[in-house]
Amino acid sequence: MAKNLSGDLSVASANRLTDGVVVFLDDSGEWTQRLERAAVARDKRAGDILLERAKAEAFAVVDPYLVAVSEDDTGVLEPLSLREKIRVSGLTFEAIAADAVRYA
Amino acid sequence: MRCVMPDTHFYRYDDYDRTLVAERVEQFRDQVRRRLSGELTEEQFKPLRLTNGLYLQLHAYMLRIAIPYGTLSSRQLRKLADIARKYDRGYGHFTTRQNLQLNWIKLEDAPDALAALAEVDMHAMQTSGNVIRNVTADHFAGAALDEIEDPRIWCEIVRQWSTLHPEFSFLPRKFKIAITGSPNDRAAVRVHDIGLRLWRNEAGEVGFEVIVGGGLGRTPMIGKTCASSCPRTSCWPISKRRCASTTAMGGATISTRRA
Repeated sequence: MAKNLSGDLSVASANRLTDGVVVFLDDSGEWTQRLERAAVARDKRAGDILLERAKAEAFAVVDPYLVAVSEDDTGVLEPLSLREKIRVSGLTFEAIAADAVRYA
Repeated sequence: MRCVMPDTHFYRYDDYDRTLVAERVEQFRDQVRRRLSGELTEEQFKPLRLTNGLYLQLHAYMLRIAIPYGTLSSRQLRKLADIARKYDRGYGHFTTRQNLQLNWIKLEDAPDALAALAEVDMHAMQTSGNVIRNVTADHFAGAALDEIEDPRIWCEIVRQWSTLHPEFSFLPRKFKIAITGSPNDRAAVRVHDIGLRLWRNEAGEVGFEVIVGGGLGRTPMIGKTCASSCPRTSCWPISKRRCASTTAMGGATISTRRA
């Protein structure tokens, strides 16, 4: 399946102020925990605008920033960096524990 | 980590200690309130939460609780369990430097967790940020067969001296001290900024070997001995100068410089 790995695509992310949960800015200016609902900027200029919007909506979150993502043919988003993949997918020890059980 | 009965607990808070910790909790409660209401920006709030041991990590806040030189009473251990159940996920993580981390605490709950800690003479001050961190000791301190002297007396002196010390509250880098009373280095004093190792000479006099410049992290360093036989009375002046030189050198230690 073809993926857009150009690095031009980005979403705005932050941690929620009250509990630190990872959130993304959606098209309506709300913060959501679901990456698939995130507003996607498709070039640098759109990314700059998205980041400005995120900062303007930052009352309930901590330090918004842009996360580079890829997008496949069906529109599924995935962060490019390992750090952001971990932020999206959750704790790594759960995956490691599952692998340990699988290969025991 | 040692857990001891309350009647043999090493150091008991006096009224001064309790007032200091209680006031700090109320200060932090007000700071959290102002952050949640938007009065404080994250830039303003971050150093305040860090000095109270509250980090923001990938998925959640983390509260690091100080366990000075790794000694806990059973009452304190039960309170830690109670706090973990009430404000976190029912468990915590004991660290190599004898602290306890709660990894899922909510910002608004952090002041209540600190207030609960204060009930058993504990706090989270100086467990993060560029300050003198929790002083650590041999985990067998007070019970080791090879021990020359209980190092926790010295740990407590350092703890009291360094807590909220204005000169060392804004260091260029975090600063770690460990003390052992045994020739066998179970406290890992050689990988601390200052490591103190008690020794006894042939005349039966007790003193310290003073080791400086050690550390772990990205560039691990084995500390160098700067005084191999320092009498107890002059050990601490040397160590204080060591802390001060770190301040003056912008985070570099005398013998090493870490990335």
